[in-house]
Amino acid sequence: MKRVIVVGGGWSGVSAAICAKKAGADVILIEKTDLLLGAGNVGGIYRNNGRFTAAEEMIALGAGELFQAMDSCAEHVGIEFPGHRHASLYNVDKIEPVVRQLIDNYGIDVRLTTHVMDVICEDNKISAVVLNDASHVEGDVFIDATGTSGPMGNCLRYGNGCSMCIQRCPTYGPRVSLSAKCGIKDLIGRRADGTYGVFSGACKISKSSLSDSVRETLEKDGVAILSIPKEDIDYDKLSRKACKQYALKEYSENIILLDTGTAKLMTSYYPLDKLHRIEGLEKAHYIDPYSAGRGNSIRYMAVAPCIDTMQVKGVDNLFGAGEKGAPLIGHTEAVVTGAVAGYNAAQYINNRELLIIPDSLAVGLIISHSHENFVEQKKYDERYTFSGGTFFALMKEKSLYETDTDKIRDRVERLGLTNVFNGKVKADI
Amino acid sequence: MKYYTKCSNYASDTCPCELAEEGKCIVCSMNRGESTCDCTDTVSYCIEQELINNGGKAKAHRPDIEGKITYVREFRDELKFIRFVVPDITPFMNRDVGTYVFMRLNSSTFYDVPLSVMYDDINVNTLAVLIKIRGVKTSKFKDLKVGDRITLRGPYYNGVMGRRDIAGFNNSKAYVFCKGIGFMPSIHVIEDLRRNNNEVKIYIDSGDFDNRLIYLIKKLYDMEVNEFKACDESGDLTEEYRDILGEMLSDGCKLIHMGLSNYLIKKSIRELERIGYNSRITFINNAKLCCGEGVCGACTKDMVLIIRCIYVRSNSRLMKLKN
Repeated sequence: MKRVIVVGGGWSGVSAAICAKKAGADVILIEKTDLLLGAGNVGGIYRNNGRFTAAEEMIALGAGELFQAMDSCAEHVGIEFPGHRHASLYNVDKIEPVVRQLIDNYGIDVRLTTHVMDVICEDNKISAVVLNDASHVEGDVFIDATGTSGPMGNCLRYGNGCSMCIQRCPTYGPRVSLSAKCGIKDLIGRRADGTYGVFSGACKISKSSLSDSVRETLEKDGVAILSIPKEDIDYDKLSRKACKQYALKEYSENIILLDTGTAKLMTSYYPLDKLHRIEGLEKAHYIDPYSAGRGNSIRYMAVAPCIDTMQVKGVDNLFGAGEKGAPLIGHTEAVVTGAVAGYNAAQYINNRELLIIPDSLAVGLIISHSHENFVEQKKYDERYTFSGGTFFALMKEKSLYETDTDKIRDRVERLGLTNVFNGKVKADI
Repeated sequence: MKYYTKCSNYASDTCPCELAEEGKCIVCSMNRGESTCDCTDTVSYCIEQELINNGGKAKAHRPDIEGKITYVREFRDELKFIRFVVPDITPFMNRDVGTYVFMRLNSSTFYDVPLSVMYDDINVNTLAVLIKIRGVKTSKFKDLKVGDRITLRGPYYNGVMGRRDIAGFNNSKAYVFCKGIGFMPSIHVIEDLRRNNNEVKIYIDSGDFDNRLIYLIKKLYDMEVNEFKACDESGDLTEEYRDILGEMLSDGCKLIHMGLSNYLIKKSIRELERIGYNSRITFINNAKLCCGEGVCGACTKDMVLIIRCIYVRSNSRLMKLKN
């Protein structure tokens, strides 16, 4: 059987591996750390705003298992916080084993703590990836789901140094861009002032370090909003942040905590001494990134130029997934690009036609819209998400924002794409 | 085939060195002024961050270590086996293949001689080296006796090219070809290969040393060795050597280590390319030892990629560099 090699075990890599497997390919999933889901281990927010539509579209398209996994770990459903409606929050401490089990059920060969450092690429075609021990893993088609954050040099130059985030570069090694190793220049996201890269947008605080009242509110409502002393409000911070959907003034004037198992603080970083001045947070303690008092990881440093099938331009058998494949924010978006990359990788090795999801679905539009703007028109300061910013506005404008699941299912049905990602291979969830 | 480089000094106590201070680090792209980080090392040690944390300055060099000779044995007039104690053996405890030290008697560092650490006993803080008395520097060691003091600097690690290949090689078959003193830096290679459960066949051309070298090896290391002659008087590889290389190929050998002169390494690689050998090649680093601290400047020349490289896979690229 022909083999798909997925490099990077974050949400997009996992999604790609599952969709490739379902389409009948033999799949190896390589991840540098000891955990799947990557930044998904600190994520948690989904189904907020347009992400609800996207999640339901993916379920109708036949790639719903990861959303069902999230739903099974969701401890808050349908909550609201500034700028966001009907959000669900999965517990980040519970999600990884659930997804690991799902991957195992599909019989995907997962290789954790395996660091890819190079590729063997000749005549625009990759034949193998090179591991750190100089051994090779050969395959027929490759998916670059390595992400765009880090490595430490980038976090140092464009951020405030290594913040000891979930990527754990000092332990497991830096992100290595496969497309760049093939000679394809990475595209770099920028802030409004042109500086390279943007800060990741949230940090985790240990819930047991919060005051009893804040913790109780958080656990009951899923959200706690605490006001920041006037002298500490920093509006400029929003422009440095990756997540455009949270770049609202409410997020500068308040500390917004979400209950994702731990307390998710919706800001890139916040000095600990200032945090301690806020009522209820006197003893707050960061758990990811550990240096969130000073900085956070720097992202969008290595977006590969992809077309809408998620193929990397210039390499025949390389597909991009997640942030690597399009400048999108969030794990719902990562699952979308991962599914397309995985499905198309399997189509590619079987010499079948590759799928481009039409623009009449939100999940198709976000891919083509982001590629058009970022890759073609070089709008490197733009990033896209279903949950806010310009793309959510576009979704509403095109009447794609929908919360009625039946209508979403009909929309997919009319396009004849129902269960397109659901191939021959099935697994229990 | 691919070609990789990494600095032998990378992530050591003395990294970042003066090269990084000058923005010429051979590992770190950002230090060299590129706009993105292309680090690929598996346990990343951020040289740029270390440099900033160190106030933008290179870290201090390895200090001089005083050693005291405890045992000297002479083979004819030209080969000296020396054992000596050092105050603290800790830096040598994580020894790697290709570990070497600079040794001198004189106070001037001009007289530094690079010597492979061939034997160590961490229980009694003892190291051993073998010196071939040949030129102006090594002749200083001619009258060395028990009780004399020597000055050391080290350890340095790029005495063998292909460390990564050796480390990642197990449950397979390897051939080692050495000539004369080239055997000394190869001892640890053989030990590592054996530790990784490889079958190792050793061929030694005793060169100028007659059978004394073979005797020493058998006695010290309890190794089974085969004798061979690497080249004839006209400088060509002998039929015998070619035959062994041919046998090795049909024997399914996946790693060849050469403790030979540069000339013979080059000739051997040509022969290996001719017969279609396409697996790992490692060899000792002759005459291309640099200070490892960015001081001597050797590593900033065109040869840089080979001088500090510890991983070579491309035979043809290697040939290009060596020509």
